Amino acid sequence: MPVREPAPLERFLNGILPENPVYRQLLGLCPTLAVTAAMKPAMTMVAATAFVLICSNLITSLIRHLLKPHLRILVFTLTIATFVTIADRTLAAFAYPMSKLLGPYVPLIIVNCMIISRCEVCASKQGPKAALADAVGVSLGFLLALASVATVREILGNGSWFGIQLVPESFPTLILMILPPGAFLALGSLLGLFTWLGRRRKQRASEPETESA
Amino acid sequence: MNWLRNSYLGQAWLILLMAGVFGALLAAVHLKLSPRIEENIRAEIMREIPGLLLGGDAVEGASITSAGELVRIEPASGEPSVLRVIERPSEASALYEVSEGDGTEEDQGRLVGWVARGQDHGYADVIELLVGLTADTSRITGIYVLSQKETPALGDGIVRSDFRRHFVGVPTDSPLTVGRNAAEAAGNPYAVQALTGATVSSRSVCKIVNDTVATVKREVAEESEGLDARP
Amino acid sequence: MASAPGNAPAISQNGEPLEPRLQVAPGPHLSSTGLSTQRLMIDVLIALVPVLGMAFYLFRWFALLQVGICVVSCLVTEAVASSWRGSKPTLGDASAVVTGLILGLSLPWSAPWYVGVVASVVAIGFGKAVFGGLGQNIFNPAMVGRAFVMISFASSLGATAYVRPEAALEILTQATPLTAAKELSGSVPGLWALFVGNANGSLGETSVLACLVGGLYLCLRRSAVWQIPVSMIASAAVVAGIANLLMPETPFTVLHHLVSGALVFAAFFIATDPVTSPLTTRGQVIFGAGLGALVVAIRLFSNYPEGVVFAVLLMNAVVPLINRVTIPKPLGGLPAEA
Repeated sequence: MPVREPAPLERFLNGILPENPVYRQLLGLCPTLAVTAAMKPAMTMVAATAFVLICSNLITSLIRHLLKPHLRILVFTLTIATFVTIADRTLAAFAYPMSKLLGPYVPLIIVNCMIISRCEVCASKQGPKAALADAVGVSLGFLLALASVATVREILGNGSWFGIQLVPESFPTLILMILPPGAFLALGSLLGLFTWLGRRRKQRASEPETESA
Repeated sequence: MNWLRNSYLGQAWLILLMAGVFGALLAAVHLKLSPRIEENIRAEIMREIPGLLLGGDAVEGASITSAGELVRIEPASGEPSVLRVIERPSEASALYEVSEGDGTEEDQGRLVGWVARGQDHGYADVIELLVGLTADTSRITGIYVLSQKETPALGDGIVRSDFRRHFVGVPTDSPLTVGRNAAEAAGNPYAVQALTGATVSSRSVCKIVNDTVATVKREVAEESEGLDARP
Repeated sequence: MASAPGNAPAISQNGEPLEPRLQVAPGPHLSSTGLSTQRLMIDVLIALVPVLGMAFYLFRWFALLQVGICVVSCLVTEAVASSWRGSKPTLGDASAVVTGLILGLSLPWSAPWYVGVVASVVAIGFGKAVFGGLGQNIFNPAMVGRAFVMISFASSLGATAYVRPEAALEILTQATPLTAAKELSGSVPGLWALFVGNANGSLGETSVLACLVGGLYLCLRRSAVWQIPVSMIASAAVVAGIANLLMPETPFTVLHHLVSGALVFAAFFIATDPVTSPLTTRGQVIFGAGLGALVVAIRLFSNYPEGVVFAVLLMNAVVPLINRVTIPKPLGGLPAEA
């Protein structure tokens, strides 16, 4: 019985907000907490993760008919690790200071469960078009999440955004926000905000129906 | 056909094939990028050498450019100066002899000091350091962390200047030790105050510095003995 | 069916027992309307009067300004938080006032205005409201706020912030006693001066005497359990005593440890918070002992001169565990498995 192939556009849109990897699925929290002290490292991390996600989703989708159920995780990990190493070396070659700053977090993309979950849930079951759209959508969702956390943390903790000073240097800033506890506070608050927004939207959507009923 | 499908090869051919293809891909990436990465690291070493030997204040705000063996320092005000950096064979990962000079062939210049690259295990992974020494190797002029993967917010404090400052100007006649707090480190020139919550990382840095200093001292002493013995 | 005929319950035709009927309900059956959150909080407010008075005497208007900023910010945050959560207004139980007072008293007189505001917002918002309001919080709200600003504004709350060489009040030109002890520099004030409060420090912590007066009132009114402060101070004394035996040359004796810093203030006003301290008496003793030991350990071994904030937060975190291991055996309960 053939399963209905989901439209690539639907997969793409789903990844951004309705199935946002961080705010909806709570996946990929390690980089969300670890590299969001400022926008620059956060965006580099998003770029590296997106590269790995798109490549491994495509490859997995192309070889999906050859996969054996008990060996599939091995194949996913092999694919992901290869592209992570490529991303890591590329960063060290072309963005050396940023690669030094991110330190162990680029190699740690290998264990980002967001990527392996997309391979498992989507790419190993769907065609390359849907897999590609899914990877791009999820990457954008990841971008949204990291950008929002990093924005809050960099502005509150350092008074700057993307390295551009927004308030005078002498202005007191909440240094705690660029330290690890600040990551948890920022992520927790934003998680609450997104959940609240989602719930309100759902309520709004259901209100007219109840009124007409 | 069934026996083939159930054999190890039948099960794992895809993984073996992928491993081969990916391995070749990584080898190609490595071949293509590693010269560039090495160049990045070398440029970083060259950039840090003046600060290590002359002190951070001396190069504050200066623009440092390197070409080949020569490092050109252009301070915000005042005369630019040139350092000649020559790599020497050494048991340490690398040993650089640094002398001041205008960069011409015949100008041997005045020996400013030595910079050595040393490494050892830290808390998480290998820590790689640059250690600067005076010309007579009697004092440490500074240290710089080339690479580390220590615990974020604890061990990675070793890269901060307020930790590295402890090493500046310390005599090399006795190995460094790690003191737990300010009280223990006060008054003892050989004691380095450990980072809060990262005693292991602090100890590793001290050990690398001690080992590297010992190697450089021995090699420099051997060389000068050899020179003296020469008729 | 060997039951005596006289004991047989009266059964009606349809099998229902007849009157008199026994009502069975779980305890407690006695309740006192006097013992409310509000009364508890008002007791704490009364107990804080001597501390506040001493702070005013020592630091003049700086003290009132700092405490005022914290109380007002705490009340505003509480009002906003309760309206967001859609619960009924919780200003009436005065718990926000207590949090604000304790927070203000734990800050240095010199901290700029925004330190108090940020600390209050974090204390009520992140320390209490996100857990679901009063009674649900794991950590002492005032200490959450204090820790947040302590790390965020290190320059406004570090050891140097307490000292103003140009200050008109003499004690403000001296280092705090714990900083003096930590850096082995400056003179440690005499024991009597420390006991009365003639020393530099955070607003509420200087006078042990004032803390004792307020604390005794709290304990006598049974608004605070006496086991926590007693075990906390005792264990601090024991740990400081051991440290003294190991390092006999230090001028900072056991008594110095007990009368300087926020130890006594914390013992009576912070550690006794009924929400974030254990429920059982045995647990309260363990809690206090852990606190005292941690405070002195942090003073001796960390880079911070005082350890009350982190000690309270650490012990708060293990309160659920303490509660679990100290569940009292009910009367007639089975003996614990060996």
